[in-house]
Amino acid sequence: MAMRFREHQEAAQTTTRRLLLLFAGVLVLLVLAVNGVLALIYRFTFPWIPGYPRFFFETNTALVLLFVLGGCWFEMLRLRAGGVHVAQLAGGRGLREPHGQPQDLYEKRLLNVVDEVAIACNVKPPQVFVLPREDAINAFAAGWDLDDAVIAVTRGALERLTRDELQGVVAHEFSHLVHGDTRLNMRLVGLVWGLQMVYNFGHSLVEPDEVGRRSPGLLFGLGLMAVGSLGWIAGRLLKAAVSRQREFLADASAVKYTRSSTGIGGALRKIADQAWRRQDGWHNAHAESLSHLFFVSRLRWAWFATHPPLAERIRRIYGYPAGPLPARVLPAEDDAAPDTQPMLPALAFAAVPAGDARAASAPPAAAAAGAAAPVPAEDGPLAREREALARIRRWQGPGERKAAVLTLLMSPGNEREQKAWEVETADIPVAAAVRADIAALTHAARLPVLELMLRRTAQRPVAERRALLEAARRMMGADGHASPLDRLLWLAMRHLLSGRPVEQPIATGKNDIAHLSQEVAALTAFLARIIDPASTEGPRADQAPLWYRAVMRALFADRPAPAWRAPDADALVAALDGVAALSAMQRPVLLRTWVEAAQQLAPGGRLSEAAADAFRLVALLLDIPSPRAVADRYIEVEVGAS
Amino acid sequence: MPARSVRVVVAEQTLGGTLGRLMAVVENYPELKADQTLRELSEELTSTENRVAFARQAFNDAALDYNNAAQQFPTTLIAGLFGFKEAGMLQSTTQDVERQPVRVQF
Repeated sequence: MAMRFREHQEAAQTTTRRLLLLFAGVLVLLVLAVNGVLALIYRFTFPWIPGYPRFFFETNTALVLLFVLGGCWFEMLRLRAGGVHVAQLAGGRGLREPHGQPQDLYEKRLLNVVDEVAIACNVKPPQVFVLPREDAINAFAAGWDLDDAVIAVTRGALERLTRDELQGVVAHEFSHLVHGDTRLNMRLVGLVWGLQMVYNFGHSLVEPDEVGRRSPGLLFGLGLMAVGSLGWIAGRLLKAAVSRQREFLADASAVKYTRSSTGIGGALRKIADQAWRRQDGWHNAHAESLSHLFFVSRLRWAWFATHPPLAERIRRIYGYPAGPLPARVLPAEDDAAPDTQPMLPALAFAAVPAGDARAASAPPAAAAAGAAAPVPAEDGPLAREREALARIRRWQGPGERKAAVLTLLMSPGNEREQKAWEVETADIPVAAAVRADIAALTHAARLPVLELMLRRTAQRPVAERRALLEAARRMMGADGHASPLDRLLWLAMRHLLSGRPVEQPIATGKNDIAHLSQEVAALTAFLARIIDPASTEGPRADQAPLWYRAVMRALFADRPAPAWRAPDADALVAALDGVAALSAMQRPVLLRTWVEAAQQLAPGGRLSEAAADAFRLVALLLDIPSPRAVADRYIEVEVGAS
Repeated sequence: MPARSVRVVVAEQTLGGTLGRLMAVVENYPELKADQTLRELSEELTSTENRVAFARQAFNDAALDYNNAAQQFPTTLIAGLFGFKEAGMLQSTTQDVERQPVRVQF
């Protein structure tokens, strides 16, 4: 059910007005009470004096008003330092001139989002700050008026919210600025402080002076303390109530500005998730004292709470109590991620078992405290892979890299290669640990990790790179036989280690697929040994395999295809050299044809692991991006790449 | 107003058409998508589209508030007295042709 934001807005405004009237009423009552109590005490203390001193009541009233309004004014003066000052006090770093620059895509995205919402609200874009040390999702708006306004967002919010949710949070903060909530808040804070001053004055009358004598105003002091404390409590209750209404108003306004309740609703649900996991703590010391300004505040005591309960806010937005959303870190450009399935950075969906996928979409019927979301199952193999990947990313040393590369190149179950591996890694003490970590990886991570290690080695001196290549060649040749995939791997390795960019010839009219048909056929024939191994060995080895025929049909539909020649062992290098002359625009066409033909022949349309590997390696060698069907089989391993 | 609306429509179609098709192609190549420059371009495009959409929304909100105010009791007298006209709101610019999903082939 969509939120009827205009109704909610009007309701919140009306309630605020009523509460402010109540506040004025409290003030009046306070004045009356002070007068009444003081009169009573005076009558009690001096029963023999008729009447009251001249201007008794006027003085009392004047003093009370002086205390309260004066305290209010004083507090406002103190907070007049300005929005930027408040943001810096909370540990913020500026993102706009003259306070700073955006440093990565997350921060640029935040600036864009703030500008967009400013257009929607018809106001000037305010200064933007980020709180880089805070992991909890939160934000605040500060500033006396629109010229002085500041919006600050935590780093956790930048990383864990989708673009829509970030827009919702920013729109909520804008609502505070537009409706003058910051100003109202400061005034109320001042008034409460003023109310407290009455109590303080009473307290000062009660306290004995240096020599222990009690002043004659003791009873008056007690009276003032009593009335003052009641007034102070009433004031705080009302201030908290007004704050809560303004928060509801801000939520409704956020829905109005963004015309979507899933943005701010999703953000609140993620915050509920963080609160439930106790990840919502604050690192900055000052932040606690500014907690009433924030988007979300932890509950101290319900009546004094400046923010309504999270569950109630979520219920008002969605119309039912929606459950928490997992607040994972998301890649910066991922604004297409669906709400309920944020992309888990180190796991491919291909590898997620059914149980994990079910747990990752939170059920809507949660307990009122929002505490019943199931934690995504920490499955054994996935958790191990994640931990292994975390360790793998830190491998920078030569020994680790060499051991990792050799382990990944090793064919499983091959005794001779194993022995060769042991020989090559004999001088590396961490080899066994590396091997264990690599064993924990699923297929989706192996090639990416290999590429990562090779790219890191590519920056090392030539001698080290050459040594690695030789070691790999020795190991792979240990059993006297190199599978086609092994050859492809070795060539890709050589390419990556050379660090040289691949030439992409422009189209000359003579280097499209039709002109280079022999070379294309040779490479396709070689790949057929990997894609369609059953039909290239055995009794039908002299017949063209199905996949080869499908590819030739697709490429040379109306022309006679090159005849099939069973490729010999060294065909690969020659074939690749030939295809390297293919123009840049034709290469993706070739790759796409291969992949589609393989998908048609594969059971269930799913490429085999060897086929996916082969396609990815060829794409690497030709320096073209892999099509989706291949790229989806692997995960991103590089930190900072997503 | 009509001439300005036409220019707005033409500009929006240019923005949405060509660059939109480029990004649709990029969607098919996850490795391209991960490239830093393309990510920034994609972010800038999204932001620009959003800004246009929000500007239209803000205009329509303001027009709606104006129309409402001009039709409520005390102010409607003044509106009638001074001849305030009803503000036109911006209509959706996507035509039926554009509502078809983009099919990318090359």
